[in-house]
Amino acid sequence: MTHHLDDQTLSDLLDDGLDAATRTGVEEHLASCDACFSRHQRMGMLVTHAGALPRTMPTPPGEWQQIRARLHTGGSRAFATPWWTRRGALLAAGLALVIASSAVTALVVGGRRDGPSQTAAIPATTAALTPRLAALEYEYTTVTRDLERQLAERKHALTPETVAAVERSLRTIETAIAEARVALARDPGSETLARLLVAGHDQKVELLRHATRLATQS
Amino acid sequence: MSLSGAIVRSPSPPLADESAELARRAQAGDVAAFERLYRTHAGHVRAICLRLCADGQRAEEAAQDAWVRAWERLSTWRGDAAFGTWLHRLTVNAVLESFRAERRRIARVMLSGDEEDGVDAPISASEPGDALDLERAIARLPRGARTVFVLHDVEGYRHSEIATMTGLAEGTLRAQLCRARRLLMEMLDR
Amino acid sequence: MRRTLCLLVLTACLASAASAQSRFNRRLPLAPDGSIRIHNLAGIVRLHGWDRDSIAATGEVGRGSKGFFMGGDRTAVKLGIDIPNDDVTSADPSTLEVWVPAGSRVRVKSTRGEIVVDGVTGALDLGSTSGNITVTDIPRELTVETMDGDVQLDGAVVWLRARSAGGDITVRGGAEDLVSASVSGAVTVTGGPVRAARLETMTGNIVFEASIARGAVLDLGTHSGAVRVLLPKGSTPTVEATTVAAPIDNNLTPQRAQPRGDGRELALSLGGDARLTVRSFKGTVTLGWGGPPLKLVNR
Repeated sequence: MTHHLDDQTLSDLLDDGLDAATRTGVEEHLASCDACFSRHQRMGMLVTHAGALPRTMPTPPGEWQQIRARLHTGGSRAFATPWWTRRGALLAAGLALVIASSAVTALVVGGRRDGPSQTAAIPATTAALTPRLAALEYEYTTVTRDLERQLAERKHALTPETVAAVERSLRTIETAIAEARVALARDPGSETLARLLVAGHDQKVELLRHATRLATQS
Repeated sequence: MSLSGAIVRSPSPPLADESAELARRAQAGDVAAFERLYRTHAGHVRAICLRLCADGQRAEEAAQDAWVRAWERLSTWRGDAAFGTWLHRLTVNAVLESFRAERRRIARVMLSGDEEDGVDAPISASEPGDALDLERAIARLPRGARTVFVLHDVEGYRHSEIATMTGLAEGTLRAQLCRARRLLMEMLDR
Repeated sequence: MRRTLCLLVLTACLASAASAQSRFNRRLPLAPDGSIRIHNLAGIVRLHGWDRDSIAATGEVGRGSKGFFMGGDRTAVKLGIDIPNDDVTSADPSTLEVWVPAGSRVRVKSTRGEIVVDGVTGALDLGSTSGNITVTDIPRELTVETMDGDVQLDGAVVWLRARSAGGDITVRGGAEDLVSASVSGAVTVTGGPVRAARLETMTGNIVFEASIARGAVLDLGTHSGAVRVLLPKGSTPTVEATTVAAPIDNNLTPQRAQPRGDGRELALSLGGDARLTVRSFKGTVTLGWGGPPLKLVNR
């Protein structure tokens, strides 16, 4: 072998990808050619370094909260398809549950500092929901409670007009959620209402996330 | 160290037993157990996404998508492989799928000549003497070469596994891997 | 003596004003697909895409701000106006005009400032609390978030996520994948073609007057905003519209919406494979013909 080895051959050699005869010839060449030996060594060191790179990296703050908010709203960021959009899902309705509501928003709107308690999560309106929708609402409530707590802690970092805008929008959303819940109590099989209810919760989570992010960045 | 030997690492995570138990609880709908799985594996999922995407924002989205997908598909994990292995493969697949979807979207909307801009960006020339560390150099690789390099040399997947995940022929993979190594050596030599 | 003193005071004032409100002009090399972060919390950001491998910034620092900063390497640059403690109430608005490689990925953050973008075809992530955001041309990806500001997009976008609490969101042009949500602002989409869209409000109105692609999936939902859908003649979607407590005015076909509780429901199939779903709690839904000529996108 008189010519230098090409990179593909060196790369395949590293990966044990050469047949025995070729490999023997390549190794003989490496023993006699400093340039190829050096390049082979460098490529090998690169692969070694790559394999030694850290297996983990720090995750962005709040990532779990964002994932959790999506767990029960289904699929992708782009077009979440909630479970209850599947035909017949709501027909499986059974138990009526008293579910948590959004009274914790008083933390933001009313400036309460004592933090939400289980008592605070008792709904202003009681509604009969399917168990899965109730479970979904409970998840939303947990997420929004976390976000509201974070926001309450950092509220001072926001301008007064931003706080006013957040409070205004939260009131609007919560009114819509409450109305949807009352309507669902009368018509628990309504897919439209279920979707509207979840859309309200989505908007609330997004709004709180946005406000919290603004407060954190300030 | 033998430089000619195959360097393959098993992507098996620590705490496999604990993860398996948590995964079983998560399969039953236990979100708290799933959160603990997240706490255990989030750093590795993040690393895979960041290295494959080479973009923080996209990596964030990809990691979230992977976790949501993992939750939705928990029932398909049967315990015959380590949960971490299953999760990491699912993460890689989610990222690769997003690449394919992006290619389709761009192909539909952009002019044909523009497609490569967003999908497989060429390496930008560096200033002479601009030393790069390996992570940054990997991020500068063209997407195809980067994908194969990260999966093979960083994550330790075999050619056959990568071929299954990417749908590429093994010959193409070998060529991409060689290209990645060559480009990295060039960048690191500057 | 008195005159001399006045002159000295005047000179000192001018010098102070000059230092407090200084102009800047900087340029750095940047890869065509480089990453850029821009901060101008109080003041306008004008962003332009260009076909050079560099980033250039010019503008004026408002009183109360520490100054302009810009740094990074060929892959990533960060620039902006530094305000003490990020307290926008303590600083006058600064102006910032930036030219970036058209294919770059740019994130802009503002609090009270307006953001105006043109010519960027890469990815944009724009956020302002109360400032308006305007984008023209075709970013590949666009994420926009405001609290109270309005959002306007003119042009076609591949992937768009726009969200506002109180601002209006207006899209004039096509989108492959569009999600637009506002709590109390209006969401409007005109032009087209649109392949996939989800438009949501709580109290804001929703207007969809755009052409739709083959196989399009359009999902419109509101609590109490009015929804108006005007499709180009020749569109053939399957339509499902439901309200909880509001009328549905169907002008697409002679078919009338049927009562369902206090609301209405309507199901139409016009023969094509596109799908339009409208949900409203108590906002009126109006469906009709109009809008631009039908354009179809081959998939």
